[in-house]
Amino acid sequence: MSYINKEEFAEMVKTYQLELYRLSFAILRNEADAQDAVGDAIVKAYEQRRMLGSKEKFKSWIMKIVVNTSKNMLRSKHQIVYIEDMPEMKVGASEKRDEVWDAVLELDYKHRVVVVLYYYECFSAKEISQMLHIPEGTIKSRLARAREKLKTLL
Amino acid sequence: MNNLTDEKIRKLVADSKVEPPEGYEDKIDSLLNQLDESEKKTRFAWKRAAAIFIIFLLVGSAGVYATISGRNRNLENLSDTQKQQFLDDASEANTERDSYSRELSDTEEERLEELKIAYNIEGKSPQKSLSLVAYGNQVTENKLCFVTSESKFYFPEREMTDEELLEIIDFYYKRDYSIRALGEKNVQSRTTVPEDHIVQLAEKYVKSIYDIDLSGSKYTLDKIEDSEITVYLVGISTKDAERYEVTFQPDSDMFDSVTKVNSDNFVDDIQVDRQLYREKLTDTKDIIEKFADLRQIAGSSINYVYKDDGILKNGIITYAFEMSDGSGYFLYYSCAHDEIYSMVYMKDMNSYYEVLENNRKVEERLGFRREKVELDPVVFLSE
Repeated sequence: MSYINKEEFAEMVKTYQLELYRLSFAILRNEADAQDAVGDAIVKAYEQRRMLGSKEKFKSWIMKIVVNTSKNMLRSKHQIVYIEDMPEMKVGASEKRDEVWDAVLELDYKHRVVVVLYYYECFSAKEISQMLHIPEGTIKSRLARAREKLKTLL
Repeated sequence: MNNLTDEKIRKLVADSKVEPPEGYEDKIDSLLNQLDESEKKTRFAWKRAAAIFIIFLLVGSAGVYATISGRNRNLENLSDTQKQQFLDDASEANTERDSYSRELSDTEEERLEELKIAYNIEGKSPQKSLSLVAYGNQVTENKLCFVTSESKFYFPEREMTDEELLEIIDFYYKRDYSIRALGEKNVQSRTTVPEDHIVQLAEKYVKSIYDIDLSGSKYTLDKIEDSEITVYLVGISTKDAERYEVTFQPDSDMFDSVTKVNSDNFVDDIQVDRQLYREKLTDTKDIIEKFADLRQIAGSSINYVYKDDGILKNGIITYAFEMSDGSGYFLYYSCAHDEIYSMVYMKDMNSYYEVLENNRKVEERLGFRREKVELDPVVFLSE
């Protein structure tokens, strides 16, 4: 099986660069960290591009890598700054505000991720389940809870 | 907005504009242009890293298993440049093994063991880093240092201080962490007979415990030998950039440990939640019954360490299951990841109890409390 070359890889990353940032930001809620996480994820994906089964799966594949990379960064960041610097984890002042997006960011971590993948990226519950290694039923219940919460926020 | 349906949310989201910060696209362009270069930078020293680290942990300590993939928070501050330097030094050394200018004294060995635990449990770190020099002729007599080209520690003739021992411990962990972190980016596929069998077993165990699809994964296999131990280490890197490690004793089809290597399983801001630990028993049961007859469980317990303020140490819970034949299974639950991230099998639980007792003494001295909640096997079966 031939794997994607650098040009194809770059083109696909460019296609989804906004989505990658949005997903990472939803997890990290910090501009600089989200950019770093996307950068790390792109390098990781490039180095492992031989493992990509088919180009059609590129988006879900790289988004999963973004989720893993961002989660790892969130944990290490959280661990380091948990006492003295938590405000840094909030939305940056330069972030353009959007009522819906702000409401999504108010959700807790588990719900934010599924909301972004489901509503923003239009993955099905089954696809999200496969991406996150979480049962489909759990994804659906998280979506239901997220909807309830969004009702109160919007 | 009481009637918030999927359709309405999708419409709201479609109108929602989430824009990345200024300069983001330029950064992506720049990164994409450098991709070839970044690939060349990664050098492979996985085998050596695994060997030196596991030997360091295993010798004189049976409590290695839970920490093989553990990451201390001391390590999280390492910059990419520092990590790369550790990798470069390890790769350029003219030997595969570390050596020492003299043996450790009995008291040094004893303190080294205690300090290792303190380093992991308390995050105790040295005041300064181990002194590194490139060549043997740069060594200052009677001063602790490490010669990178020889991969050799030069110890002072006198008894080393706690600070010096901590510098050695810190160096080992940081070097291992760095090489693993960078080495993971360049995993090579090596499967040769008879080791193929071990790789297949490792794959089976990982699939069984974590219930994941490993198609498209890459495998590494290393035989780690020392005068006292031999361990096989199978590394599995999935197409989703997750990593699993399985260790085996020679001539054994049963694993020593199966671990999902997360960048950081340790957190220090989670309150003890006894109810949650009970609830997770169902997960442990699901895993254990894939390997053992639940009716053969002679004793089981939930174990954790915490401070007076109720903060769970490291965010890790251990579920221990002693079987009627004297063997045991341990499942490690990470609160940060909300998952069982590691499983360990021990043929003889007595060695575990020895380690536990040793750890308990150090923990007490550091102000921690260890709680062991004994479970009635009947209760476990009915959970």
